[in-house]
Amino acid sequence: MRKANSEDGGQPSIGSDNGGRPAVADDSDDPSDAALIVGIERGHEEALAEAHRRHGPSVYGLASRMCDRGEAGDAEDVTHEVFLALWRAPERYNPERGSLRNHLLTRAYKEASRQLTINAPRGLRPRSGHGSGPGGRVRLTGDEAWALLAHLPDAKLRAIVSAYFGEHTYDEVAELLRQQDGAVKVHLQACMTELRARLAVGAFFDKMGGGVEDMADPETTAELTDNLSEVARALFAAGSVADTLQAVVDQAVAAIEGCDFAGIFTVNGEEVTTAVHSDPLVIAIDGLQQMTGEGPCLDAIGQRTTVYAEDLADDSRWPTFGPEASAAGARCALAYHLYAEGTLGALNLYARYPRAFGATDRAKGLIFATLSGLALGGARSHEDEHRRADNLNQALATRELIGQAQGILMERERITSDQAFDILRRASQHLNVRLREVAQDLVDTGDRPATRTEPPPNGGEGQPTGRSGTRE
Amino acid sequence: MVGNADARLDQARHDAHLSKGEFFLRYFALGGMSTSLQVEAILLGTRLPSPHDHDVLAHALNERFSELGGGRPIRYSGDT
Repeated sequence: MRKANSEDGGQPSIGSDNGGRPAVADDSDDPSDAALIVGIERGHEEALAEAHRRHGPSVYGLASRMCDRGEAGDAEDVTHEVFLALWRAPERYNPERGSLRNHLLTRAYKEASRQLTINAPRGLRPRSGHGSGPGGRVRLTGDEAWALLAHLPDAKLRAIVSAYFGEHTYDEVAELLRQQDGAVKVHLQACMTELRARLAVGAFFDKMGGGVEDMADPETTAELTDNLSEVARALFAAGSVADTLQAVVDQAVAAIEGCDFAGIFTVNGEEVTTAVHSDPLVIAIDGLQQMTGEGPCLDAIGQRTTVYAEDLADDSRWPTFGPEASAAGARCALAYHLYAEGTLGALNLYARYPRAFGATDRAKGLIFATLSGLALGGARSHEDEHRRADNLNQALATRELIGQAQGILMERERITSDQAFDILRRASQHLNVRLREVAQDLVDTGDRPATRTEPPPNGGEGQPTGRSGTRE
Repeated sequence: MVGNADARLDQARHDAHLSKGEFFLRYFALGGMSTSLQVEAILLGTRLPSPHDHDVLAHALNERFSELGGGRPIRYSGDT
């Protein structure tokens, strides 16, 4: 049926087969959401019905949980309004900004909030008893978390989160938000903290389009979240950059079921090197990519995205590398762009068998790569701090040594501190060695340093020793 | 006297590829007694260093130039 022919003046009947309550969605992926939107734009009611069948339960679920009086009528109204809005203005959905489901949930959230404001002046609050976890923390499903994210109070934070899950780099996010790179990192780290606390892992699955039904199960989700918290702790506790890289690889092999071996490529200009690996085979496979100039890990870096090769033995993207890698023992590869202040490289997961990484593994890997990037960024700053502290300690030690040398000269020759420095400085110039070394020599041997134009500091006593000093 | 040599200290620091922080740390290691703000003021030309302070700053730069394989181009206060 065409839009223009709708009996009720442009409003299609939605879910009328079950009295407004949405039907349970099946797992059918055909036609795609994008095709459905095209259909809706062209006025095909069947397309809207299919979209409703597919996403109605989620929308209805969120709406019903948001309505504190728990009256079914409210949730049905919200669901109806959401799909009506989709029918009237399908162009408002922008596929580049996320999945159709997230778009609809965001709209549901807005609509439910609006209805609650009208109907309940006390404002929005969660239905009592729903989803309260230990310590009073509200547990959210992935769908709810996405809807919630869309309504974070800080607009910038929200923008950053969406950019974040779009796998942008800090630089790109900074560019998007016209912010300094440093400010973006602070926001992103705040986001991670926020997300760890509030966002169930299901959200990632939705984003990945994995459609893993069992992930909606709170127990599974909680288990995975706990598991990832442990991973995060291990990564952030590693300390140095080298230790963090090793921790990433070790944790990846341990936490990602399909992964048999893993490694990290690092990029330094044109040069790509295998920084760490869990198995020598990784070096061989990485070497093959460099030799042939093609491969999933190179693509992950080049395209700044995630690349999945289900079966390297038969993948037209890498006609040379694929079969060779497969023969060497890697049939399946999953490569993530890894970034910390610019492109760092790629996290590469390999498996011995084809199609080893399911939707769960792929989503886990994405979270993993994200955490790894943050941990590596942190480790780098940490090392910078250490370097600064080392420099300061060295400066203090030099200052103390020079002070000692000055003291010896002052005491022995009855001169001022400035005059003592002058003697050391002239010796340094004359011998062309650092002043520090002149001072060290004086403290070690007690010999007066040689100067070319010896000023008589105190009645001309004290002759140059003619020591040659040590050149650097 | 040093004359307008101080005005050239900051240029020399640039030429020696030293940040202000790195320059101050080298000056400090040599026993310099001015604070980083005072050194910055000297580099900006808004503060006149004592001849000794000038010599410590000059020596920090000369050691750096020497490391880079050059000579010791910065004059000291007593140089004629």
